[in-house]
Amino acid sequence: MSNNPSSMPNTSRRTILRHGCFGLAGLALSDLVGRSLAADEPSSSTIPGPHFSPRAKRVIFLFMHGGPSHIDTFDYKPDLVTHNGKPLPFDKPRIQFAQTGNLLSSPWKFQQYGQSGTWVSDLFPHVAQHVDDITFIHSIHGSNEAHGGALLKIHTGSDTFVRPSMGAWISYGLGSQNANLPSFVTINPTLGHGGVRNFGSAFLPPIHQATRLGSSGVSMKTAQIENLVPPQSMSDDLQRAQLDLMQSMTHMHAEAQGRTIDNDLQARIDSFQLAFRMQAEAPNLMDLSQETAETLALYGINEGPTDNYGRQCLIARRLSESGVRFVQVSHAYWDQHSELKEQHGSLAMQVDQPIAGLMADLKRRGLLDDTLVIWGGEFGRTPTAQGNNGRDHNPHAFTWWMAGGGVRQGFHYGESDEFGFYSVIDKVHVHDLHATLLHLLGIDHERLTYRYGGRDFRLTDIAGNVVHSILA
Amino acid sequence: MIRARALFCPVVQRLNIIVAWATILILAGTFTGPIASGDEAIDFFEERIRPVLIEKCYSCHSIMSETAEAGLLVDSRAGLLNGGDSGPAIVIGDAETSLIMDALQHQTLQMPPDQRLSNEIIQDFAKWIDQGMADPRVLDTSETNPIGNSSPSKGLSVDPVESQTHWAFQVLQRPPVPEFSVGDTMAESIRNPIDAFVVAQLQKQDWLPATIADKPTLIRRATFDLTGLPPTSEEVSDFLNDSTPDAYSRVIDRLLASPRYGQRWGRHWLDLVRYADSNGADENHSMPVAWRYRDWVVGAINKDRPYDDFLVEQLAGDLLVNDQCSEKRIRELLVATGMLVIGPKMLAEQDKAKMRIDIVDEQIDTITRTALGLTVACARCHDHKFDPISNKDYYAVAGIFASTKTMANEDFVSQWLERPLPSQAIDAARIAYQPQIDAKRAERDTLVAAARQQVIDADPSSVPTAEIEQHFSEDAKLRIAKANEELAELEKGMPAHEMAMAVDEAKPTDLPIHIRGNHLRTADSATSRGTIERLRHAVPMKPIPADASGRLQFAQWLTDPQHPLTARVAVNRIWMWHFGQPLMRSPSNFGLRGERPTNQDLLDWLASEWCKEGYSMKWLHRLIMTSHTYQMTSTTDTYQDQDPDNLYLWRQNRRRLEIEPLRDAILAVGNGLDEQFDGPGVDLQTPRRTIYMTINRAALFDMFSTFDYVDPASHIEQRPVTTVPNQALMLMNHPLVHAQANKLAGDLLAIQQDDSKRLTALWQIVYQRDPTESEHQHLIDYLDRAEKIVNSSSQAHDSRRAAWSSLIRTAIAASEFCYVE
Repeated sequence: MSNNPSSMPNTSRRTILRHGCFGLAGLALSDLVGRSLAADEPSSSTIPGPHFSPRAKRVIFLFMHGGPSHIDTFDYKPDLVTHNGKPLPFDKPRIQFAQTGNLLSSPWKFQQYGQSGTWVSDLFPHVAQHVDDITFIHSIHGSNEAHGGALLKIHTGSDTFVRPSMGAWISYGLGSQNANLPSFVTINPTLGHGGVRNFGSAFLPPIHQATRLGSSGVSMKTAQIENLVPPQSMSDDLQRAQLDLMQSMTHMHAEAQGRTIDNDLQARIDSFQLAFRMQAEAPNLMDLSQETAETLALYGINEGPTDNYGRQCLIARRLSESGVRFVQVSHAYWDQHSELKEQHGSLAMQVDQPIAGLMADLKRRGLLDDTLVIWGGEFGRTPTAQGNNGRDHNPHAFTWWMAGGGVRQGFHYGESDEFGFYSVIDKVHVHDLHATLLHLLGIDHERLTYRYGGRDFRLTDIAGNVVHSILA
Repeated sequence: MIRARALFCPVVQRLNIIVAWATILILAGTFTGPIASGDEAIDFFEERIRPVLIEKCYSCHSIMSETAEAGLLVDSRAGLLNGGDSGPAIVIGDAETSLIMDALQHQTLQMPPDQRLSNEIIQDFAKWIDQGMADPRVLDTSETNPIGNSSPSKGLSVDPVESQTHWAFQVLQRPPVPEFSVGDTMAESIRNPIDAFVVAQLQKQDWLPATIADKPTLIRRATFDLTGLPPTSEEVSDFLNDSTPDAYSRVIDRLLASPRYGQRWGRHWLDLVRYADSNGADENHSMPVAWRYRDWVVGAINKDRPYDDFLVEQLAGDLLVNDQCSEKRIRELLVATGMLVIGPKMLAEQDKAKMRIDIVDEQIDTITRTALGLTVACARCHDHKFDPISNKDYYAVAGIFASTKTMANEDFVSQWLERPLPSQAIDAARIAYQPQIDAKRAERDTLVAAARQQVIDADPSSVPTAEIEQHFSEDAKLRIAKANEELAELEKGMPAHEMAMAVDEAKPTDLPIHIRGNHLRTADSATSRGTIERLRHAVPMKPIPADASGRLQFAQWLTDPQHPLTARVAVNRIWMWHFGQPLMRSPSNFGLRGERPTNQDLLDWLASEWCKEGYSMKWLHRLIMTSHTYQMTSTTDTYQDQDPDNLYLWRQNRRRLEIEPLRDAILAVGNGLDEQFDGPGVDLQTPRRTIYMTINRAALFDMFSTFDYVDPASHIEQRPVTTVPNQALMLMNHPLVHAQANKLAGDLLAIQQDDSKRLTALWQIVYQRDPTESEHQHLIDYLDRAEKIVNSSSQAHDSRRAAWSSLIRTAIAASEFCYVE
């Protein structure tokens, strides 16, 4: 199936394209009012996927902006301790972001956790409790040594051209599970380093761009989706009355011209009904007062440093649960060219408990089975020191982890070299990650295409191999 | 589902028989090496070699694979002999020096990459090569070259016959206008030649064009079309009351003379050239003077700058500056080249060579899609897969832009080029200002000299050294520091040159082909700067002087009246902005994979007439808008089933307003639009026309992306029109809608005496018509109902005004406001 459905009588091809993805094509208003499409019910035949049975139905992407250090978190390198202060015994990359000196051992101790005996540093004691649910990929490599390029690469697969983001591709491929909600939401994204391009739809229909909740630095207590809340003076009754009026005005105008209401106008009326329901449903999802004190505590909400990311994670769970396909939860700013110990320490403190809380909460709700949780940054950091207490960007090797929806448990894949500078065994490129992610969602990355400017495009461009070894 | 595999090498289907035969002949001709004769050698190949190649190598190295990895194809003998990026894979008769053996043995190369083949298989290959490499496969992939190839370019992948005959590559011919006799029933629908072309096509279907729309619809359509704003009530009533035959054409003239016309059509152009006020990409630096280019576009369009000049100035304005140019003209010419500089750039890319070629690529992509309607940038890594644009062509054009200075420096975070604009006034002000600085400096120097003398006088043995200042008296130090501060302050106050984003010439450089687009692996010889070979046959390009980038020659070539693409592409776009749909429906792809124009004769006639008329856009607007075709109703009641996309132009198209006219119209109906022109971008709260809102590539206003203006970092060929709930949310809840509706409600209540008059006034303002009788009653009922709802809620204040405000908001949200019929 491609994005060019054959023409239907009396309906232009473009009309279907325009409305299809929100489940409007061919549905009468009466079908839509008060009805939210059940999960797993693709709402329209124009959705290109899934191509086979999915292992995951939704994704929560915990994005650590700035580049958390893999060798200080989940990629244990005992050799760094013995070689501390010595020169790197092999060449540094041709292009480096900054100059670095000799090897620098990790300021943190590592311990083994779980049945899998996974080594985790003291930065993530809470996440460490879940290692037996997680697949760690230690051999990821990208191609850009600067934040902007690396972010774009991770999010869109290209650091050269304007391309749709992975969330947009997934929205395009799978549609929404809930007609009252957007299929792609990004919570507190950065507006720098590519900004909207990292969650935009580029040439895909704009419906697939992320709906943005807050932005980097905005408190979750006040973050809102734009235009979702009517001004205070506006009661539900009044808005309902306006919608009725609008519908009758459209009919009267058509009648006066001796015409019928065509598909375009009908779809437009429908979209107002949907908006009205979205307005009712979405703020509810952001209202955490409906959660128990125990759940709030689990995420570290109302507890100092963990409060904000805890809220982000809990809102992410609520959105996922309600059918949002792809939720990105961003956290900043893991860019420690200096003061690695102090800054990484406080950043990890902010996310460790909330992430562990999210894992536990998803698990006990039975959601982890078909929700894919992904953790990672745009690159890792160099094992060599920048100044005397920092690390530079390292796109040549870094660690991401995945849990839930279809990945192996307590598993490690790929290796970086003995110091963590280069990915060496079972290397996984960003394109391979994207291919694997789509695969878990039931999408063949080679078949998820969109025609633009005379050719067909994919998230994985002309590359990408599914990493079958990590599939459960 | 189209198989992905076929997508990226959609090749084989078109393998031309002639080429295939030629290939075999060439093969036979170059056939030299010794070969183990007879069937035995062939059998060995079939049994031991071919299955391994198919199973282990074809997925990456065959005509059917998505990519020819490293430029190597192993599905033919010639492919192996020609080899890939690293050279020939096989030397016949000499396995030892054959590169393929190195790779199979996992030495410097490792193939297959995942697992080394067994020794037995590797020995088979050695034997096969040593014995003469018998290979009966006839498909010669290196000559037909469908996948893209390594350096140097070996010829085009596209069918040469098809590319010769492709309609859009033919020199423009003016087709004869279809003739209709006076008595013809169709004659009534023919006001100018446009209609003759349209009606001639409709006649073949036995269809009739729609009738002319009523006057309120026409003036609303024309006004939005040319100015992006609704007509005022006075303009509507003037038109309705004017029963002279040329009433409509006078409306067109008035609109074309309005400076708002440039704001509307300038915005269209800005879409094509990815205008923005910030860099986006990796480092989203503000581009604080990008607006000068935006204002230049608006001004040039208002002045009806002929399209050829308009293009040349943007590509090479800086090269047109000469002694005869006025200051104003020089400023314009420099600012125009901002088009080349405003693209998104990876400023923090540390591989600066990559940054340079990426910037060139971005320029080529924008220029060629905009002006030529071709995706030339596809040929960066390999020959274009569908169009006759070779890898070599790409680097011929790239050389021109590599010889152009776009960047001011290549620092850690690099900076684009801004050039000072000449200004006698500022120069004079600077000269007038300079004495103040000089005086202050002299004053400071006097203080320093005095202080030095004081030290020397106190101790005549002390020699003036660099450290002498340390011995100054505290009082002298204070006075000198104060003087230095004042000097710095004065220097800051020096009237600054005005800057514009603009290019300059750089050292002329011919670029070698970058093998597979990799700037670190280039061909040995450079490609002379120039243009696309296939199109140069139709229009020759003037030679590029050795000391010039070639931008001017490229621009002149582009705008040559004989050019098959430039005028067609532009006319097609102008048509699109009048009808919502272009005549040729892939407006930035006139290549072999583009659409066919629905009425090629019409497109060609318009393009050739336009060229003859000196590329005046206003002339073209007049011609199009005075046609019957433009003035038809947008009724969908006749041939919608047969032609839902209106390919035959049997009606006008209903069009949704883009965000710019939509926001502007909301401001206009509330009488809150500030019509100030030009200047730096402003925020969304400023009630100026939307074209002046800051376009931040990394944080675009949600209102824009919600209404389909999604990506200001790339050329936009046509705004999509989607219908999504977020648009409804904006129209229901956005403070702008509420504020303007409330304002208009206040005005209506103050000015008009009764609800009936108010309704009529409102309907005139928002829809340019009176309410019908049934509407009238319905709306009055609504006001009462809304007032009751407002009263029942706790915050009831001025409930009648709230009811009116609610009605106005609904009127704004309704289709009739957001669409043009």
